[in-house]
Amino acid sequence: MVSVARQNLLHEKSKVALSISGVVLSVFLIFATLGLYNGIITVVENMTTKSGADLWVTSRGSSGSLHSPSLLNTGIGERLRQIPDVNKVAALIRRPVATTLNGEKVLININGFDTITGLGGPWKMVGGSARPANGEIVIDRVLARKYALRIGGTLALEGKQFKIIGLSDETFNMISYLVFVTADDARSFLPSGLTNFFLVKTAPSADIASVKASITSALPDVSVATADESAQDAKNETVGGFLPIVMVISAVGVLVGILVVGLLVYTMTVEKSQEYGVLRALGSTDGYLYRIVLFQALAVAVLGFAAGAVVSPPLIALIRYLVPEFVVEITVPMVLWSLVLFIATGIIASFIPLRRLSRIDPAIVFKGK
Amino acid sequence: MVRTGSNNEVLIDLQHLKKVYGEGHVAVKAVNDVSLHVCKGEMVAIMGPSGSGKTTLLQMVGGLLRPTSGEVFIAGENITALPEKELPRIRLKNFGFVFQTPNLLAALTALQNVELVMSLSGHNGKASRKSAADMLAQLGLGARLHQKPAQLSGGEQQRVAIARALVNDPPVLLADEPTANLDSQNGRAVMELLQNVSRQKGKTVVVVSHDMRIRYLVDRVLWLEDGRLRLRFAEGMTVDPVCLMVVEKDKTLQVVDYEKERYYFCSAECRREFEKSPEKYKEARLSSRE
Repeated sequence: MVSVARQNLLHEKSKVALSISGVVLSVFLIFATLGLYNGIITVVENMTTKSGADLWVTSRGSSGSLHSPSLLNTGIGERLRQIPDVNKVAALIRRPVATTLNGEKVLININGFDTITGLGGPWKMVGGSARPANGEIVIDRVLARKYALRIGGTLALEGKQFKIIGLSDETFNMISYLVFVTADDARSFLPSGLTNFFLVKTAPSADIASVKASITSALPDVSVATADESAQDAKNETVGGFLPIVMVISAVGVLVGILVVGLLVYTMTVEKSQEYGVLRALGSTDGYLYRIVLFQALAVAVLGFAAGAVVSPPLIALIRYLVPEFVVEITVPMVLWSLVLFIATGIIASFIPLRRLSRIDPAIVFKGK
Repeated sequence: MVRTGSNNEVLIDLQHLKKVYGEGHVAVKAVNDVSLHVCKGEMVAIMGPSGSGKTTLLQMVGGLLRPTSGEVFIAGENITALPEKELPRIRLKNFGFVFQTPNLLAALTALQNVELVMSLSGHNGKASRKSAADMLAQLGLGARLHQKPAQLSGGEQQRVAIARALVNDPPVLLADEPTANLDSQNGRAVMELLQNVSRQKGKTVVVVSHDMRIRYLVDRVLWLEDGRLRLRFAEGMTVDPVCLMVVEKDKTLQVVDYEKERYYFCSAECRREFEKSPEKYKEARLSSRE
């Protein structure tokens, strides 16, 4: 079959290339926005799901997120250890601290964890050791890069000097940086006899739901959640507010895509009105003409998407190198959803010249050029 | 009503065809009560001055324009009674169009332009490509199959357009000023090609033209003026060779004798125009015998 649409696109290479560039920009915008959203979610979820604990014990009504205040008596730890199928129990102190670095106020979340069990410690390291001793600290890699902190150097938190022994990843959530110290060191940031959370590791053969029920029954004044439930709560509390912003920016990206593709197919329709009139006169149906426009719109949208999908990751990596806070995570489902979105973009854009197309009079061919 | 041709099988039958543009006192009758039969294999030229309704008539015959009243029968089928969505099929099946400008698709090669029509009628693949190539080869374009329109001369483009019009083997070829944009040599070649198509392939060809030279190549010349067909000129009538208006010989004072022929004009302006370059217009002289 002679593909008029394909030949038209090949005939207008520079115009098509420009339009594809517009779509690439749109794809990049969407990837960056959704990737940023994904990046934050990953950090927030990993803070609970990768803590090594099966269950999170908090103050009643609180969750394991950074924004949820939870204070527990340290004596609860001993009672938790006595519950059947509880294998390990570790206190976790998580406190926000404001400090000044290079003359700039910085919000840091101190994570004081049990270095013996490792519960609540860093889950992804990019350098150094993950197990600090007293007086030592593992800091977030973005924090280190932004303020020129390195392993072997020191970081002062509320007047106390910590030696940096490791760099962690996935511990920056756009608002604050997570750092890891021993539970003993972290206690100096809380009144004595208190902790924020208890992390529970169940026995290998234990049913987590049953252990959760046993804790709830034995300690009715606390809340217990599985790591996944806690992650979900943390996600809702942390990124719920970002979602509308992310959606608006993504919608702008899609709109840019629709307009770029729509403008191309519209101008091509206007410029080729005479040729569409010829096709009409020769006996083509409205459906045939619409399929030409649809093919052109889909081709530009999908080619633009493919080029955008290839170009965006290295571009994002470059931006991330230049701006460490740009924590973006591109996932396969996100890419697939974006592809669906851009196919829809092509289809919607193909409607833009539809009215113009339907009004092309085949008798135009008798008017000459 | 006219009824002639190589046989009596009527292919195009126009019944009291009328096309009026506008309404009330601004209404213009572009075609006014035209009835006509064109037989199978016949080659007919419709001539007349600018604005006489030639192209409007051709558009109605080809199912590209709805008449205000009257009917168009093609091979016995009343196409004016058909709904709009049926007309593309009718055009595809019955007509090959040759326009004033070749109207080739710029992005397609000569071969693809011809093959496109086969594709529209549902014929795809190697066989249709071969048919298109054969058709172009028959018209002397065998070596130009893969050239795009911009790489072809005006005459070659018009031959591609004729190949496109013929490739689906339609019974009727409608040509609107097919020589208008060509030099005299290419114009004659195109008209001879259309004549061959009519003679050898038995196609019915209707040509709309200003070009008086084509009258020697067609079976019949129909004169359209003010939307009405004049079958032949009455005694004492002739055509102003400049504007192609019909002139009554004894009612005009604008007369010029040139190379032993007498020419009549509708106005002094046309006479002066003729006197500036008589060679340009002398071919257009139409005697009352025609």
